[in-house]
Amino acid sequence: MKRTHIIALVFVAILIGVLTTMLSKGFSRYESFESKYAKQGKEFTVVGYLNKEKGIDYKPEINPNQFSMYVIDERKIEKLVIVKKAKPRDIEKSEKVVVTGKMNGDVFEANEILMKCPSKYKNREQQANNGQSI
Amino acid sequence: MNIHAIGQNMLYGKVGHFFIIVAFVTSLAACLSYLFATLNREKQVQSFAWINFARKLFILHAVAVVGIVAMLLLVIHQHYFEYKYVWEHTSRSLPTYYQFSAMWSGQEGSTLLWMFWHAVLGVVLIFKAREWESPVLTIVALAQVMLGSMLLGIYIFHYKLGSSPFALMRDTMDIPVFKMNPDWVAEDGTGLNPSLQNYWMVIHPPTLFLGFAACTVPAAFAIASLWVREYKTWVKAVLPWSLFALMILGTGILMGGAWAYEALSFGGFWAWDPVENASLVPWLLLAAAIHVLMAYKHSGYSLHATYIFFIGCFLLILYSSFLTKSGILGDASVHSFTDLGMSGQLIACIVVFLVPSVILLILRIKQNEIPSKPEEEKLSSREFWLFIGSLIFVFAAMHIIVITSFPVINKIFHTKFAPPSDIKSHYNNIQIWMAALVALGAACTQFFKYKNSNVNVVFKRLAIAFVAAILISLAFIIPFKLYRVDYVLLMVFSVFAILSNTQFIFQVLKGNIKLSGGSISHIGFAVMLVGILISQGKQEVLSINQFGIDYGKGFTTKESAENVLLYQNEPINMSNYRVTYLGDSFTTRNIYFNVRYDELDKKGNIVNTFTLHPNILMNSKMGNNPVPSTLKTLSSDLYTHITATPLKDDGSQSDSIVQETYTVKLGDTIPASRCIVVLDEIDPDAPIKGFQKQPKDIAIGAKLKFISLDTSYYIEPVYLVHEVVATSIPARVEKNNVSFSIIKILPEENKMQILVEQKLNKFIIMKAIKFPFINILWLGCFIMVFEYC
Repeated sequence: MKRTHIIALVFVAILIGVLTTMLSKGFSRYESFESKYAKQGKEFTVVGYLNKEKGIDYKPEINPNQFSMYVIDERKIEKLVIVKKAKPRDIEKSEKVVVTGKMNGDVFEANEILMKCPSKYKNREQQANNGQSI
Repeated sequence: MNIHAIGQNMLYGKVGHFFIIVAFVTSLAACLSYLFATLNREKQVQSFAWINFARKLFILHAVAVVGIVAMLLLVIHQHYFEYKYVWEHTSRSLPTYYQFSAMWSGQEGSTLLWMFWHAVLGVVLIFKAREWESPVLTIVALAQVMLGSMLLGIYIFHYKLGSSPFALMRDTMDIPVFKMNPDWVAEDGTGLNPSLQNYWMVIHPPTLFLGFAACTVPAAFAIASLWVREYKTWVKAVLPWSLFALMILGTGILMGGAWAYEALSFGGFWAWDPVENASLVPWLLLAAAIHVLMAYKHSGYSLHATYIFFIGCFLLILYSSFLTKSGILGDASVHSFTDLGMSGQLIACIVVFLVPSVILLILRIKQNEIPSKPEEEKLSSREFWLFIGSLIFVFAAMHIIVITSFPVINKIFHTKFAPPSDIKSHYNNIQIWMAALVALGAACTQFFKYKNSNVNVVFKRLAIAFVAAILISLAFIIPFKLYRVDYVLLMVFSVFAILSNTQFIFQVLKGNIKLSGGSISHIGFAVMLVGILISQGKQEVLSINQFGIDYGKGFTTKESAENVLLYQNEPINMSNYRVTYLGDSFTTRNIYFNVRYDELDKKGNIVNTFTLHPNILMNSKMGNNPVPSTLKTLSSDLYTHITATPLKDDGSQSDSIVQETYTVKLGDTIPASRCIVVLDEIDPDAPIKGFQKQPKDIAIGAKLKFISLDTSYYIEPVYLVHEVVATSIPARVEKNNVSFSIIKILPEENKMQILVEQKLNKFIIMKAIKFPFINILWLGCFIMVFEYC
C-alpha cells in the first residue's frame, strides 16, 4: 500500500470517528414531546405545528428575547413551548414549526426555532380566491 | 375585474413552450449525434459528418434556449398574470431590474438559467475544444437533455415530466373562480419575495449558475478522457476550464454571502445553511481536483484522484440541486424550494451520470490503462503535498455534505437524526482546523519542487516567513484576544501563507505576474481566512439586554438576550455607544426606523454621531421583511436590524395601552416594562392618601416591592370597601408609565388579582452586531477573484 493511500484511509477513519462520536453525543434527534428519549432530559428536536387558537405570548416590553406558544407534535401531543429568542415575524402564519431544546417539567424550553411558512402554492390559491372577491 | 378574451397573450406561452420542446429534442439529437461521432472516431469521414450535424443541432438548441429565456422575460415584463410563474413571482409594482431576479427566483427559472449557461459554454466548446469536441459535447448535451426534461411539463403515462414555466394558472390551479369564469385573469401577481429584492439577487444567481454550468465542463473532459482512452492531452484542455469554473463558482458563493449579509437578518454572511453548503461542497471538490491535476501534469501521479474529484464535483452539483429542489430539506432549511414532485427526475439526473462514470472508471482501472507510477511519491516532492492538500479539501467537503444529508439519511434508513442544535459552532469548530491545514499547505507546498527537493533549502527559505508570521499574528492575537488553539493556528498559518506566497512570487518567480496566478490566489484565500477569523470569531453583539434582573424561572438568562428594547427618545448604552430610537419615517414600501448612535469615549464624551436606518419592507402578501442597516468603516462594520416592532400587519402602530391581570400570592413576582414587582406583604389596614377611613371600611393593601434597573422601593395599591362599594386605588409609577391595582381578593386561596396597566411609548426591538475588520475578508475575496482577470 502506498503512503498516500494510508493517509487517505486515516482521513476517512478520522471522519467516521468524529461523526460517530457526534451521533452518540452531541447530535440532536427528532422526537416527540413524550418519547422515552425526551424523558432523559436530553436535548431533542420536535417537528410540530402551532396551536393557533391559543395564540402566541410575546411581551417585548418585558422580555424581548422570549416568547411562548403551544405546539402540537406529530403524535398530537400538545405542550407549552418557551422559546428563548425574539419572536420571528410571521410565525402566526407558519404551518409547521421545528423547535430544539429540552423538557423542563411539562414545559419545553427551546433555544432554536425554525418555521415553515405555508407552501406558496396553497397560500396563493387563497390569495387568488380573495383577489376574485375584490 | 379584468376579463381577457380567450387566446389573448396565449401566443407567447405557446411559443415559449414550443422553444422548450425544440430545445429538448435538439439536445437529445445533438447528444446522440455527438455520441455516434465519438463511437466512429476511427472513421474520419463518418465521424466528421456526425460532428457537422451535431454542431448544427447544438447551435439550434442554444438558439431555442435563448428563445425560452426571451419569452419568459417577455411575459414577466408584460405582466401576463395568466401565467402561473408570472403571477407567483412578480407584481405590477416590481421594478424592471428585479424582473430578472423574478425570472430565476423559481425552480423552473433557475433550471432555465443553468441550461442557458450550458448552452453558451457548449457553443464556446464547439469552437475551442478541437479533438475533444465530440465526447465532451456528448456529455454537455446529455446534461441539457436532463435539465430540459425538467421544463417540459408534459404527461407521459400519467407521470408528469418536468414543470413548465409557461404553465397557465387555470390549468394548474384548482380554484373555484375558474369554474365560474374560465377566462379569469388575476389583476396583479403576488410579488417577488421581498428578501430577493436586492441588487445582489440580480447578479448572484447568474454567477452561481455560470459556476455550476462551468463545473460540468471539467467533468465532461474527465469522462471523455476515460471514454476515448486518451489520458494525456485532456490535461492541457481542462486546466483553463477548471480554473474558470473555480473562479466563477467561488465568486457566486461569495456574492450569496454578501447578499445574506446585506439583505437577510441572520446576522452574518455565512450561516451554514444547507443551500449554502450545497454550493460550497462542489467548490471544495473542484479546488481539490485542480491541485491533483497540477500534480499529475508535472509528475504523472494522482490521475485516479483527478478523475474522481472532477466527476465528484459535478455529481455533487447534481446532488445539491436534488437537495434544494426536492423539498427533502424541509425540516432543516428555511431556504429550500418547495417540492414540485420532481424528486424522481432529479434522482434520475444523478444516476444517468453516476452509473456510466463509475462503470467507465472501474473498467479502465481493471484494464490497467490509467497511467500511474509504481513507486511512491517522495515526502519531499510537491506532488505528495498537493495530494495531501486535496485530501483536506475533500475531507472538509465530506464533513459538510454528510451533515447536510441528514434528512436524506433519515429518509433512507428511517433514523431520526436531527442536525446539531448549534449548527454554526458545529461547523466552525471542525472546519476551522481544515482551514488552518489548508493555509499551512498553501504556505509551504510551492517551495517543494516536483519529484524531489532539498528539504533543507525549503525549510531555510520558509523559516524567515514563518518567524515573521508568528510575530505579525501576535499583533492580531493579543488585541483581539484570540486565545484558542484553533484560532491561533489559523491565524499563524494564514499569515504564513500570505508571507510565503509573496516571497515565492519575488524570490522564485522573479515577480513574473503571468506565473504568479496560483500564489496570488493563495494570498487572497489566506487574507480571506484572516478576515473571517477576526470578523466572525470576534464579532460582538452590542445589543445585550442590559436589563439583567433575574426574572426567576422560565425567563431568559442574560447571555442569550441578544435583542434589546428601545423606547422612542430614551437612550440606552450599548458597549461604547449611546443608542437612541428617534422615530420612524415612511415611504410607500418601507418603514425606516431612525436609530442614532453616539460613540462615547471612556469619559463618556461623545466623539462621533451617526444615524442608521434599519427598515422594514412592507409586503402584505408575503409578510414584512426587515432589512438591516450597516455602518461600514475601515476597521469595522456596525450591523443593526429590527427584530420586532409593535406594528400590526398593515404597518399601523398597535395599541399603546397594555393590560394584563395576574393572580398572585405572597412572594410572587409580576413582570412589567423595565421593572418587576414582588408581592412582599398584604396589609390588612392600609393607609390611603387624602381619605379618612371610617371604622367599618375595609382597606386591604398590597405591599409591592418595585424593582427597576436603578432603584427599588415600595408601592401600595389598595382595595377599599366603603359602605358596600368596593373601589380599587391603583399605585402608579410615572417614570415607567405603569400602574398596579388590586381587582379581586381571593381570601380562601390566600391570593389576589392584580391588574397591570401600561402605557407603552413607541418602541423597537433591535439587534446590533459589530464585525471587526470584515473588510479584510472582502479584500481577500477581491484578490482571489481579480487574480484571474
